[in-house]
Amino acid sequence: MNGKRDTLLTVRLAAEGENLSAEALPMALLGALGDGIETFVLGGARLGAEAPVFRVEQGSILLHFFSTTAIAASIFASGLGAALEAIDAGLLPGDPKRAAALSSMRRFLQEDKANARTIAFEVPERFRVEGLVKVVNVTISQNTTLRQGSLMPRVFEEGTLRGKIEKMGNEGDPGFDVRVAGEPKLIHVRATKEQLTGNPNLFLPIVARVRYRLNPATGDRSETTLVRFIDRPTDPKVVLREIVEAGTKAWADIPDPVAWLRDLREA
Amino acid sequence: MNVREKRPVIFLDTSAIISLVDSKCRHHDAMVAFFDVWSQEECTVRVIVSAIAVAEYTVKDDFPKQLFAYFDMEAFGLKAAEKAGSLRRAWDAANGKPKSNVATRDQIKDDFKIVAHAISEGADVIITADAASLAKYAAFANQTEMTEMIVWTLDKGFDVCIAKGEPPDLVSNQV
Repeated sequence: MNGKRDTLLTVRLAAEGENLSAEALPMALLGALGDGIETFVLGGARLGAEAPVFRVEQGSILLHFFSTTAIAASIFASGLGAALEAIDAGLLPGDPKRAAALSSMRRFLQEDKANARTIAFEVPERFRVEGLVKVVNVTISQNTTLRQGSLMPRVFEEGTLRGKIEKMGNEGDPGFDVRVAGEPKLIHVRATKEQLTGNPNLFLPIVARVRYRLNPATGDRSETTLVRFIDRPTDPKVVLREIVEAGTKAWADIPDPVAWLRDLREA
Repeated sequence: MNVREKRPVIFLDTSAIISLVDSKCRHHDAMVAFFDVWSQEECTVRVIVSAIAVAEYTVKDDFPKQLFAYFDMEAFGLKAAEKAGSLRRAWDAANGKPKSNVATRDQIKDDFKIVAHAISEGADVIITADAASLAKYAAFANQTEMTEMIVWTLDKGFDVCIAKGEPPDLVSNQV
C-alpha cells in the first residue's frame, strides 16, 4: 500500500462497569461480529483498506481499521461519514448494506452473548476537521432505536453575522449566543477557545464571518460556526475617507465607471 | 414584503459601491449620505454586497475590505443560484430563447446573478447606477412577482426612509 498507514476508525466494544476480555468473546462470535462491523465500516467494498486488527485494551475489545489517509478519505466520503451521521441523528443509514450490518450488531448486543453493552465508532478528529465526517464518536447500545428518514442535505454556506453577544459559553462549549436585531431567537455560534482569546465581551456589538448549514427546503440555518471576527472601526467617517481616497485614485483613469461596468457585463 | 416585520435589507450593486468610493462619480455624495446612515451602530438596516460584485470590482482594483465592517459580504450560494436559473428561465419565456445553449450559459451574466442574489437574500431594495441592464432585470423580476424588491437607480434620487430603517410610508425624501 502506498502512502502513510493511518488509523481510519476504531470500533470499541464495551460493557459498563465490567471488563471485557478476549475469553468472553469466543472466536466464532468475534468473527461474525467482525464481519458485520467490517461491512458497516467499508460498505462491502474493501477499497484498499486492511482487515481490522483486534486488541483488548482497558476492559474493552477494540477493532482497529487501518488504511492510508487517501483511502480513509474515500471511505468516509463514499458513505461511512453519512452512515455515522445518520446514526448520530437517530436515523438508519440510507445504504442498505450498512443498515443490515448495523442491525446485526444491534442483535449481537441484544443477545448479550459476550456481555458487551455498547459498540462505539471512534473517528480520528482530523477527519472531522477535513469535513469528511461530522461526528467523531457514535455509540449504539442494545436500546438504540433508529428510524427511517433522511438527513438534511449538507449545504454549507458562509455569511456575515452582526449583533450583540448575550451569552458566553464555558470550558466545554466555548461558543457564544448572539442577539441579532429583528431576530426573535438568539443565534448560537460555535467557536474555539483560541478564537475567543482577547475577543469581544458580553453585550458589545460584533461583526463576524460565520459558516453555517443551510436547509434548502426551509431556509433555516444551523450549526453556525465562527470563521473570524471582523474589526469594527470606531470612526466610520475616518474609514470612509481612507476608502474614498484610495478608490478615487484607483478609478482615476476610468472617466465613467458605470459605463466601464456595463462594458464588462456585456463583454 | 412588509418591512415593518423584519430588518430592512438593502442590496448594493457594484455600480453603487464604485459610486461610494470614487469621489468623481456623479452619485458619490448620495452614497456617502447613505453610508453615514448605515455605519451608525444603532442602524438596523442590513446592507449586503454580493461576492459577485466583489469580483467585478476587483477586475479594476482590490475591493476595499474595510467596508465589510459595515456591509455584509455574502457568497453566491444555492438559493441565489436557483433564483438566477429561474429568473433566466422566466426572462427567456418573456423575451424569446437565445439561439443556443452556449448563449444561455453565457447570458446568465453577473448583473443577472446580482439581481437573483438580492432576491434570494430577501432584499427590499437594490441600489444601482446601472439603469441600462441591472435595473432592467430587477424590474423584470418585480413584474414576474418573483420579488417585491424596489429598484433604486442612483439617477432618480432615493427614498431615504428605508435606508434609515423606517417604514417607507412615513417619510419620502430625496437625497
